Amino acid sequence: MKLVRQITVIIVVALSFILFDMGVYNVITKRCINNTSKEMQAKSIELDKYLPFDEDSLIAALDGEASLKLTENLPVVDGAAAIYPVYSAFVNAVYPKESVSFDGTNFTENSAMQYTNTRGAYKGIVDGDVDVIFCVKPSDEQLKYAEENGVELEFVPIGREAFVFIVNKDNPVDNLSIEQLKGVYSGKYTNWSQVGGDDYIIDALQRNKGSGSQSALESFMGEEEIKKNPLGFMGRAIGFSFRYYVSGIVENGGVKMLSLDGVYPSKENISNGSYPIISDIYAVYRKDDDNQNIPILIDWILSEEGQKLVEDSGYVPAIVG
Amino acid sequence: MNDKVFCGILAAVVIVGIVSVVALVGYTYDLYESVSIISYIANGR
Repeated sequence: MKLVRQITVIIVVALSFILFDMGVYNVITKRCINNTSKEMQAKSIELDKYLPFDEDSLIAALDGEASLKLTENLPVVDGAAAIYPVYSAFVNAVYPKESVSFDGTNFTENSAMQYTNTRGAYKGIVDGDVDVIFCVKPSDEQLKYAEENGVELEFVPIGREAFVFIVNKDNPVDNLSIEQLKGVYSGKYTNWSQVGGDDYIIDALQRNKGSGSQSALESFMGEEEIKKNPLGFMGRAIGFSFRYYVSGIVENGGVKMLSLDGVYPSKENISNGSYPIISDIYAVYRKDDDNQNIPILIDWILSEEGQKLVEDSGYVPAIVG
Repeated sequence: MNDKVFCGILAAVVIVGIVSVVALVGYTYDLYESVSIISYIANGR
């Protein structure tokens, strides 16, 4: 009897640990497994798929030669992951091939085209490492960094994009009002049943401070404080990003974009202004940068050719022809 | 089995169990740090 009791205790203790581990794995660990490439995980985009001057590149291209060809004093460009294919298309059209150097993983130091994503790009433009960056609006911290360093930035809208909210494709919620969305991120609504869904905790995800989409969320929320539910991981998640990044670059069939106030984030609804949260994509440069090719490049980006590349890259042109 | 053997086996099971929990939590944290929002949502419900 004593032996049976002892064996039972050992088995129960072992089983308890096994069940606990299985529970943690199924509820949390499995959800954190990234099903994208290592590069996508590290950089948010696979740089080699959208390189300029590469015949296998996925970037948009003009039918013929661009009306602008820069040969010297090339503005060094950088930008956000979601906008990388766009500015790569600009470089491809206007810059000489030998101006861009990619070592298989990163752009080299002397390359006229760089990629450091939003945070790196805003730091780079203020520090003088790059001449023009392509991003959405900066965060308050990024603006403060510019101010502290005595740098005045110029923002020229070159395209428009929808700021979208995404859920799992099996989430029965397809639409939220702006009020509901703000309530989700302010902590007013903590359960999906409060906004028309099933009885699950709302896991309102956020991104790193300073990233383009996090700055867009903060701008959307305005003065309302953004709150995180520590128990959210046990529920159903909602996140955010930019439309084309979700639908055209990542293309993960496991998520869907929500309609806001009954309007779906289609290109048409961005163009006609009916989708309620639209972000401008900017070409940003330092006011004190005297490189004459910066205004020339930006004027070309705003021309019919440049705006065609914006549109063919999946975004809405700033200027509708 | 005698008490010493029982305690020894139980202690070993508990130690292995704790190590497994710590390893899993550490692994999960590492994954969480680098997972994209889109993957995390797609993997969930």
